Amino acid sequence: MSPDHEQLSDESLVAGLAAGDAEVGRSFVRRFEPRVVGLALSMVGDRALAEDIAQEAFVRAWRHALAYDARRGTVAGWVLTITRNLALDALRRRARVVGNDRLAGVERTWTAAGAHDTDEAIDLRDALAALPEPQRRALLLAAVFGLTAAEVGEREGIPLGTAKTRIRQALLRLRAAMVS
Amino acid sequence: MIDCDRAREAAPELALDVLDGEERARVLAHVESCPSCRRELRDLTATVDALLGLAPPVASPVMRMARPRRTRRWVAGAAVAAAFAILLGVVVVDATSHRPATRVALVSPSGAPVGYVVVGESHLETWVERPVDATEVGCRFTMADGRVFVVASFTLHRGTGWWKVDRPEAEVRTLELVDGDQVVAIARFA
Repeated sequence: MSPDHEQLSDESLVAGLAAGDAEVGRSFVRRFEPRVVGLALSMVGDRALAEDIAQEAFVRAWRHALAYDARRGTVAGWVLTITRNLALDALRRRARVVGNDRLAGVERTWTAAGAHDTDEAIDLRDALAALPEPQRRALLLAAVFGLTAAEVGEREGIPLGTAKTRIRQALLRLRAAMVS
Repeated sequence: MIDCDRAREAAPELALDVLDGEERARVLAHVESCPSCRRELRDLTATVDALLGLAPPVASPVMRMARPRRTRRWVAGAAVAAAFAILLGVVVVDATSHRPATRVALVSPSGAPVGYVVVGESHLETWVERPVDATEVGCRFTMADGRVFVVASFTLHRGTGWWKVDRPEAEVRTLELVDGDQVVAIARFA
């Protein structure tokens, strides 16, 4: 039976992935798949498409594992960014209309406590929940649905400058919550 | 070349990767030559990374990986696809050769046996062996302290399937499979 890699650090898993170790790859997928599929599902709202995106994200992670640089961010951040980019590509091939139900659903589920939340995640969720609603909506429209500030402004019926300010203020408040 | 004020104003959108091409290029050019703005962009990017981690996880059943339904969509190069197929193969072996240690019965609301939950050190494996009347179920934990979490949703194949979820650090009182508000099966932990 294969050795258990569950104890390995995220960085060690990526190193093993880069070396082409299939057993490490399996552990890598197990560790990150719930988050990868979860993010893709939040973004595209379609389970089958989210699973396709997740598969492609893992293939890309495998191919680009050598290029992962721990100094530039966490492994989770890296693989979720790959996922987000793929999901954004999928969204950009579709109509760019984000329904209020979708947005409200993301607001609700992203601020609800998770069973495996780290302290950092708890702080971040609290900060996201505590944002003024217009700021939270603007940030999530950009982060989850890939809308530009201009598109956020158009959707929310506000000037471009206001949309930019809301996104910026929201992100800075989350940043402050992370470092406090 | 733009100045620091303008770069910082645009940095959140750059970190979120929603800046249009020309502005993006201008901000990146500035950031390349400005350590202070580079640091701010790095911090904001880390914040975005952490934000993405708040998406509710969806623990796809390992079964799905063992029997991918949509393999035609694999578009990677042949070598990578082959390597990944090996990876999926390992999962299959893992799934079929498992020898559970501690089992807790999984029963329907009327008490009929449905399957079991294997309690591992870091995971809980849920096995639905007798078909239940649902195609997709949520996995809901009730903790000893009363907190309730729905941690993931799973697709069942003809009413059966198995999957793993991370075991919460706090003590779990029950694990329920729910279809909407309706409880499909429950495992009670001592």
